[in-house]
Amino acid sequence: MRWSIIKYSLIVSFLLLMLSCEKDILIELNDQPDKLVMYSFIYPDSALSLHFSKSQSILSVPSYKQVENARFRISINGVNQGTYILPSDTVWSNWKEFTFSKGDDIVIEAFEREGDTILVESYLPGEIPIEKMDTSTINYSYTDGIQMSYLKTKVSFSDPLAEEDYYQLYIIREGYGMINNEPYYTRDVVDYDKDDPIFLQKDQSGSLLQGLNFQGLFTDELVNGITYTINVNIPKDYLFFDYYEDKIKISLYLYHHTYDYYSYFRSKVISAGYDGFYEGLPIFDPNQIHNNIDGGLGLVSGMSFDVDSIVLYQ
Amino acid sequence: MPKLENLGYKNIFIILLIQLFALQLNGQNVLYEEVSFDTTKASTAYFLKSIEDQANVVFSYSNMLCFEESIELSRSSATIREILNELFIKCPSSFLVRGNKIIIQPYEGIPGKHVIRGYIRDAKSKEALIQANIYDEDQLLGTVSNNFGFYSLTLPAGYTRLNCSYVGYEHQEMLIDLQSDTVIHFDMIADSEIREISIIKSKVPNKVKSTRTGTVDLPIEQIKNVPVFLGEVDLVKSIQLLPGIQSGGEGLSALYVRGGGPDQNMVLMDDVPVYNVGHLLGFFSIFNADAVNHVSVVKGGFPARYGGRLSSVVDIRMYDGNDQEFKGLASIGVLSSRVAAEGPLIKDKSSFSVSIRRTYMDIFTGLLQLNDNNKSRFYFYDFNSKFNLKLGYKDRIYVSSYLGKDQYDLQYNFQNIEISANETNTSRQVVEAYDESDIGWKNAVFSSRWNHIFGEKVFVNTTASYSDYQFYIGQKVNYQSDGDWTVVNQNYYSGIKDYTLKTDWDYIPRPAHYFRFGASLTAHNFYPGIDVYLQENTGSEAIDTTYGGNRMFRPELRLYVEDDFNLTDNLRLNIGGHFSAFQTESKYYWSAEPRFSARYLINDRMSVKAAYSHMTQYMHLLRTSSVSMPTDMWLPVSDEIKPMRATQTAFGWEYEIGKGFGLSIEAYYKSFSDILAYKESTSYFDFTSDWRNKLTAGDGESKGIEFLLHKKTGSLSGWFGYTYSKTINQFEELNNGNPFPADFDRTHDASLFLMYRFKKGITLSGTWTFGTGSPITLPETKYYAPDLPTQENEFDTKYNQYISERNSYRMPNFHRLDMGVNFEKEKPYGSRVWSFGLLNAYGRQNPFFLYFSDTEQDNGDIKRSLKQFSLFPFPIPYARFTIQF
Repeated sequence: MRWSIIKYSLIVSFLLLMLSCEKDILIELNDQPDKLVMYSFIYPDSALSLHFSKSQSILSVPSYKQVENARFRISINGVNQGTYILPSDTVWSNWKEFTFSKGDDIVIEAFEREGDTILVESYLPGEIPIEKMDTSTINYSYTDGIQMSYLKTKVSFSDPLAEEDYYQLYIIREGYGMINNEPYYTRDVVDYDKDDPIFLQKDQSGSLLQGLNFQGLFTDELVNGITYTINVNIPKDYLFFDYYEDKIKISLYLYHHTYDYYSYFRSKVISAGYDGFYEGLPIFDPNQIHNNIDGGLGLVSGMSFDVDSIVLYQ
Repeated sequence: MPKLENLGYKNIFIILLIQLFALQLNGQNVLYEEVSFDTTKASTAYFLKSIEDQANVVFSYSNMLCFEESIELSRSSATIREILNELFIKCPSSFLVRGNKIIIQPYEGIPGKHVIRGYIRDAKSKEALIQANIYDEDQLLGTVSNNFGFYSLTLPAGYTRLNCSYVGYEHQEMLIDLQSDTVIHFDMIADSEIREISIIKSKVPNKVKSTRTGTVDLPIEQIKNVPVFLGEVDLVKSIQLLPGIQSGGEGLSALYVRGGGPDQNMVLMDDVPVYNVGHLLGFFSIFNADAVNHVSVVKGGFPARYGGRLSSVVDIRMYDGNDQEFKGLASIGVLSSRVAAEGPLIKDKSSFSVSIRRTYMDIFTGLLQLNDNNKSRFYFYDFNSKFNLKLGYKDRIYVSSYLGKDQYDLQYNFQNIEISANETNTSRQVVEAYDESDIGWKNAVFSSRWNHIFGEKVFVNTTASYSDYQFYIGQKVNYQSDGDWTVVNQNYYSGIKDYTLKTDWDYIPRPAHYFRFGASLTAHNFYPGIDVYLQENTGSEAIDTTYGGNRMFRPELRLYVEDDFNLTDNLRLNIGGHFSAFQTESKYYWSAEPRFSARYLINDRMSVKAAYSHMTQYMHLLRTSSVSMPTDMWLPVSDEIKPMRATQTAFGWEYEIGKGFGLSIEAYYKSFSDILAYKESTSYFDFTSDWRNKLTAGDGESKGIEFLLHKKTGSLSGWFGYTYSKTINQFEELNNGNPFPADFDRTHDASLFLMYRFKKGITLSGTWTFGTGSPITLPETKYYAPDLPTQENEFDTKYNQYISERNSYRMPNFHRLDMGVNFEKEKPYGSRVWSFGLLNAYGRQNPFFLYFSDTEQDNGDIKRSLKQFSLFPFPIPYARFTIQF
């Protein structure tokens, strides 16, 4: 409601003015050469999945342009793994030839035949173990008169000293059951309240002004080198069984990210704004999306996680 | 007529009234007519005869005068006064003009000096006239009235032809025999009051004017006639029409002065800074023109008395109130109504002035929503008040206030709540309640000032003031549970509160010098965000919690000294220094700022000017967007964030075509350091980052040339302004470290304002503005953006936009014609004015912003195009009715 009143006041003010119109205009956009685009999210003990494409004019409708005759070369911990041809007919190409371990340094060089070359360096951060997890049920009364029940969950971890660490607490709800002797499975991402100070970092200005939801991302700015317990309230709605479910598993993933993944993710959230409300509305300055591809665009990053789960049976 | 107070000295008398000379005062004193000679060497008598022949004058002199058989002049042509000074250099004499006669009278010994002081006021309203010229026309000695209309002028004893001149008012002149210190008040008659007779005008000799590089005074009469949106008289919109000043967007009230941002302007209302000058997202300014007496805009050559902002000072003086008779005004417009009243509390001793403006769209929306379960309303108001009291002749006290507020609220969930019986209430009760959300922002400014005159030459103004700007969001929710009724109030506040103590001293030892010095101490209190939670429950104790947003107390000290003086006959300087200090969390910032401006008279009409100033700013506005949002937040410098600084150099040329009619050309170069901007990958709404970490500092430069042709008087008045400028910023963390055009860089900017006053109370006015399109950042390419493996919610778009360069495009050029007409008619009770106007008369669709949009074609294909959003794209009429009594 608080955000909506800002939004409504803006909208109402504009509607009150009602004295506006819009029309197509022609501005000659500078001819920018298409840039090579690469994405890969690398996990320990997993195969390599790679996206390779090209940027294109903002006025084009498709989101990306495929690249013909592209190749990539990969090095893991300084050891060249060879050069491979990238298929042009898939969004993501999978390379089971490569597996990764925590701490690996990865260098990928990709190039278009007789075209540009891009280079990216990343690494696989080591997993940060969840040391302890406790749960209890609590009831909260909210200002709109609604009583809400939560599964209060405490997750403890120890942040390594002497390095900047980037994290995300990501919670998944999985439901298991049977329909006509066939397995039944549901998977949802839990949208939990990010009230713990670790998600807010420093003294924020205006906690009643609803800020952007950074989806559980945080840094070690407040907890560098110490053991910290995150308090998370999982709405009890996620604990209700649906008709076919006989088991629910709530998994808490503590992701350990690179700076690049963290920054890319945050810049995407900022760019989108409140459910996309101000995305593309030029009264706000446009945001630049973080990029770690040298000579091109995109993101290649390693990540690792530790997971702890709660299992409930009907 | 001038009001002369004798203070017991009876030997002063008026020889002739100004009317006797009316026919002769045709705009130029004969002493300043140019004469030339065939030779530079001849007798005194020859030169006097030659002057008589050329200027059609007759000299009258006594035999005490020193005549030479042969004297050599330094030049063959000069003004009569300059020639006479050279001819009688051995026997200094006074030159008195009587019709076509010039009386030359040698001084007997060294003449004594006496002080004339007093106030210059409007004869009808008794309001102070600020920056009016007072001068002795023969000796070319003069001064100007200060912000309270006070002047002090030291002149040699003897006959003095004292002139008083103010743009838009009848020129006044009186001849006195000055034999002692004297008090003379001038009650000036406005040109508009003199309808049937020709108005006597006289050009003020440039030599007696102060040096004011980069300063523009805007007559209130012109401000009130500028056609504006919905007929809301708006002085900020008038200021935006001046060269070097831009609006930043169609219809907005922000000021962008010589490459500076909207937070770099010091807007002073009776000496007190006002932090938010806009209503309704900045579409209307907060200043009610009915309460404004004088407006001056300083955009360069800052005198030392001003400080604290980099780009401009808008000095607004409010009406004191008529101390003779009651006056009033009521005005009804499409958007708002205004009421103003003024009058004496104690005649000749104390007066008041109050005015209020309020919108009433909420009244109409309230009627439409009578039976709705959701009721919303929006309104804003301004309330100005001022009281003053004379405590004897030398002391005067002023108390003034301004209150303004924008409020938007929404009431919903109307319900009847049943409250169960308890210990205090034995019966069950039913109470009607509703939930409510509101958002708003408000300004409150209070000041009390004490004027005191020490002796004859020192004027002191001491001010204690309070300025409060606050933005708030609130929510009230009722709910019932098990017979208990709970009301929860949540409020968020942010803002700034200033408490200031300030003293300003004017010391005018002689006409050639005008000293000003002073000091101020401000206790700034910044509130970046305070949350208040109050829960009241019928069944238990109330919970009252305040958290977040620590108050930041930041003291600021300012000291200044300046002198406005004549170095030579033709060269006048204003030299001063401004010192400031500001405390942050754990350190002090300070700044010693030199200020210099000079004016060299090429002749009596033409001058060249130069100015240099250094400015420092210790606070900045953290803006939410390019339009003025209530969430914009004033924040101080910190240990990490350094103060913004700017130096400005300006050169100008000015030609006075006639009284109140001038042409000026001014070039400037301004450099900024440590100016602030958001980093490229952050946003105001990112509350998880400390605000200090979201900002980055950089440098900038602005250069330009401004042309202004300004006619302030006569039936046809107005101005034409043109600016050619370029403003570039460079930040290490923005645009890959490359320079880029500032958001408000506008290469060409032109404004024409014309106002024609017909005889029978009809005034026709029009403005035409043109500006190069504002810079805009447009992404040129887009690229694939996959779902992230750990994202909770899907993003709306499956691509990212890539911005190769910041502000590398321009919106289409902006131009617009606005027209207005006022019909004024005398009535038994006073007068009435009908105002009609048409904004955007030829329906130009000017861009407000640009954006990309996908539209589906008839064949099902999607077409992506760039669209322009325009506000006010067609002619918008307005009407207003005003009565004055």
